[in-house]
Amino acid sequence: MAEGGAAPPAAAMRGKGVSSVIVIVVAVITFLAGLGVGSVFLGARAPPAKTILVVAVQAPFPPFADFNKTSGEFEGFEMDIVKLIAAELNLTPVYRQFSNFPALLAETGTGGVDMASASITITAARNATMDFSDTYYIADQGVLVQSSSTLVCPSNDCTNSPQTLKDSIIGVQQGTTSFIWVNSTVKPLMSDPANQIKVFAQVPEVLTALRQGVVDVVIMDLPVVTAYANAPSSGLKVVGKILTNELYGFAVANNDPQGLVPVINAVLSRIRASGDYDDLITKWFA
Amino acid sequence: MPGWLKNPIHLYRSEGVRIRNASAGQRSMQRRSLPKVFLYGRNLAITIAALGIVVSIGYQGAYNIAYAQEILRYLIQGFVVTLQAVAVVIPVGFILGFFFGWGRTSHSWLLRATGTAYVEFFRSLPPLVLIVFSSLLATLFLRNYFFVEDPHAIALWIGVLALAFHSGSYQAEIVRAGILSVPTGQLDAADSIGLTRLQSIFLIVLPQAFRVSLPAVGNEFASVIKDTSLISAIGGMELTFWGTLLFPDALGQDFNLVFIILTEVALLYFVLTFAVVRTVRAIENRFKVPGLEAAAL
Repeated sequence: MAEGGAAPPAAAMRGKGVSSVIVIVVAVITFLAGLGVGSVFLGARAPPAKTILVVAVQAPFPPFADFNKTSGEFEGFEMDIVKLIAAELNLTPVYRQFSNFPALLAETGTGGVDMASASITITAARNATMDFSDTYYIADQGVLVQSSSTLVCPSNDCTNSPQTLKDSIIGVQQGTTSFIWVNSTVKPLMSDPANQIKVFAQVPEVLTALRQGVVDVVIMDLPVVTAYANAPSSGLKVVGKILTNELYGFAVANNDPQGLVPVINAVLSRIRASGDYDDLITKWFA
Repeated sequence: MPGWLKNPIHLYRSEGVRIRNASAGQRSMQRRSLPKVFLYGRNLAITIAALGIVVSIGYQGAYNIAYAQEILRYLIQGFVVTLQAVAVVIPVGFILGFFFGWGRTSHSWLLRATGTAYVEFFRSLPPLVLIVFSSLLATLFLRNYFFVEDPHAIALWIGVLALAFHSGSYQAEIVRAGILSVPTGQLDAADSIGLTRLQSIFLIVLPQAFRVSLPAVGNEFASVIKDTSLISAIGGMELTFWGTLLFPDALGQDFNLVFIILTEVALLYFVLTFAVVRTVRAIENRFKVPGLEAAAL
């Protein structure tokens, strides 16, 4: 840079570094002090009465959860039960969609939503980060292949014959129990697990991959794969089920701060006893 | 007959017609371009013809055009949300990128450090992680401290802002490259005619840096439009999400309908990206200095 009135002489610049650091430090301390004062004001208020029940869902996952495009509402087997729970609590259900299953679980466990109704299987690992209600559905996994596939499981039950799958390319949805099953049961038998297990973020992606032949086998919840296989000209068939006896439960935040689990359990036992539960099963799964 | 019609090749080449019987220097300098009306008319006519062909083969049964029309009204709903997200991400990202990129080239240690911290932090995180993390933090903060029962709408826009910050970090580097590309001789010359540092930056460096960085900035805009599909992870019902919503119905009727869905989603993204990139190109042409470019394309 040329001289001549452009920059101040070096001697005058020397103090600037130190003073700017002091300004920063003072600013940061003042800001933190303000936060502290603010939290005292904010924390001291009592929360207002709840009017809505925020429910995390993942659509589309028929028949459990789906988004009705014409009405713009979420509907499904789980939504019907959630409506009953919300009525019990005198709240209006508000559904919040998450396309990313781990994000849904994270938000439920930390309390970002009141409860989650997204076909979540109760596992010990998940129990550490969130609380579950009683089971509202017992599901198995199903093995879905293309109609032209020659894969066969003895008596349509693949539970104890993972070796039939060890040479196939398997597609699963990330973060689900089918993914865990494949990893624990089939992966040790595979020759090249890195390329043979393909993980997808969303259900439609998994099914498209199967139809394209990118994967040979899809392992997913049995009612869902049955629905897809039974659709006309789907080109898919279910070769067997995997009896995992997975228990679906409604999830709430860790340690249930709002005390929702007893209410949910009361509603579930009430509808089972009165026969409403069987009506719902017939309505959505027949 | 007008010059541009004498040789039909000029219907395809838009840069214009060379003047005959002129010296070499005159020939290269005088390129009369085609009348603008003709240029836009040609492009529009080709687009409409292509659209007509696509629609007519649909009616003749090459694909299920009834389904394509039926899902269009749903995909448009998602398209509107994508438009809203893009309308936030692009300006915010550009402004952030501009200031942090400029700060990175500053003489002040503090501005440089802030810029570097911003760029390195947001560049190293995957956008999905940023969106989910920021939205989750915002939700928890709003629920527990401000007692907002359903902060979904706000949390969604916090996620979109996080994406804007991510895009801004890339744009900061683009802006920094633009500023660094201006030769230091320019600053010396500015100083010699008596401009202060600030004046020389605003009048000499930044206009040139802006012009140089425009193509890369347009590239980043085009890229971030596709990144907005990540907001479906926290509940934004944008175009890709609506596409996946339509999958179960399509799979229930006929698998080939899935291709129609995917093609329409791709076309809608293409239209949006094309519009944005074209706008940036128009700005580039506005700021272009003919004769200063290295390649005479």
